[in-house]
Amino acid sequence: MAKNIKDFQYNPRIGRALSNASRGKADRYHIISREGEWIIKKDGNVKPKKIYSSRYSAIRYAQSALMQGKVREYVVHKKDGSIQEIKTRR
Amino acid sequence: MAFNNNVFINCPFDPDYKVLLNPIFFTILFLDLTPLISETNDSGSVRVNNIKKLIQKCKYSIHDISRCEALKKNKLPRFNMPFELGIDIGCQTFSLKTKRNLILEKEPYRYQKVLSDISGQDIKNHNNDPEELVLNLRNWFSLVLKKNLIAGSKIWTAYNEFIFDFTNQMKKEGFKKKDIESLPKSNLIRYMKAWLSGRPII
Repeated sequence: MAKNIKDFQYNPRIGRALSNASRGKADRYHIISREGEWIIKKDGNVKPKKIYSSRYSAIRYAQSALMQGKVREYVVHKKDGSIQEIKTRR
Repeated sequence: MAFNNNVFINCPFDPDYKVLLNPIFFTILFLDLTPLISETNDSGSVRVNNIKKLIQKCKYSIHDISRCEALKKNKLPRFNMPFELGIDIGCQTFSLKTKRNLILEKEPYRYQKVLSDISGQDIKNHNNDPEELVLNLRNWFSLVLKKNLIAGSKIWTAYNEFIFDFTNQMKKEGFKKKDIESLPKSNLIRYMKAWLSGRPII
């Protein structure tokens, strides 16, 4: 159902949820394009965990980590930062 | 001291530009500055008066002239961006001399064919690449603020994480992709601010 006008106003509850989300470190890898390479970064960490020259290799590492239970979820970002794919452990 | 922290953003607000506009907002907020935009739908007011007031309030301005071209064949290009850039340079020349303008272009030297009078200003190319844009903004602000700022690559990865958390949260709230894209820019800025407020200082 389409949202009504009221929903488009700033919602402090959503603001608080976002603040909490950035504060916490979730059990999640982000695969991000950076300076011509693909980095794997754990949520909330500053330094990348791994750096790959190809997106494919980065995804393979994340897939393997997911299957081995090292991480609960990984997110593949497009080059513009938006989300391409999310894989979660079942 | 608001003047010293305010950044006027003179960029297109069409959906195609969102991929560059959102990282501009995020980078400015990350650097503890305040982005100001003209987002008024008030047809009763003269738009240029609002623009002039915003320009006066801001020490820094970002002018993106990369979209000064016809979007479709046989259509005319829009000249709002170079017009507002002209007002800002006038304001800097005749009144607020400490103001600093950054002009963004999509490729090197294109401006020389259409707006050669701006030679000598701070001009950076983003090649329509949001990551390059973030790095350019960070480097320019480091120069004008005379501060050693956090690396642009860190701002870029933080932006990617914000996108995930924001999309995730809005979906939980029942927003569809189209709804998220329709959010007023001023509210998106507030959500970015809220997200950044939770981040530990690096």
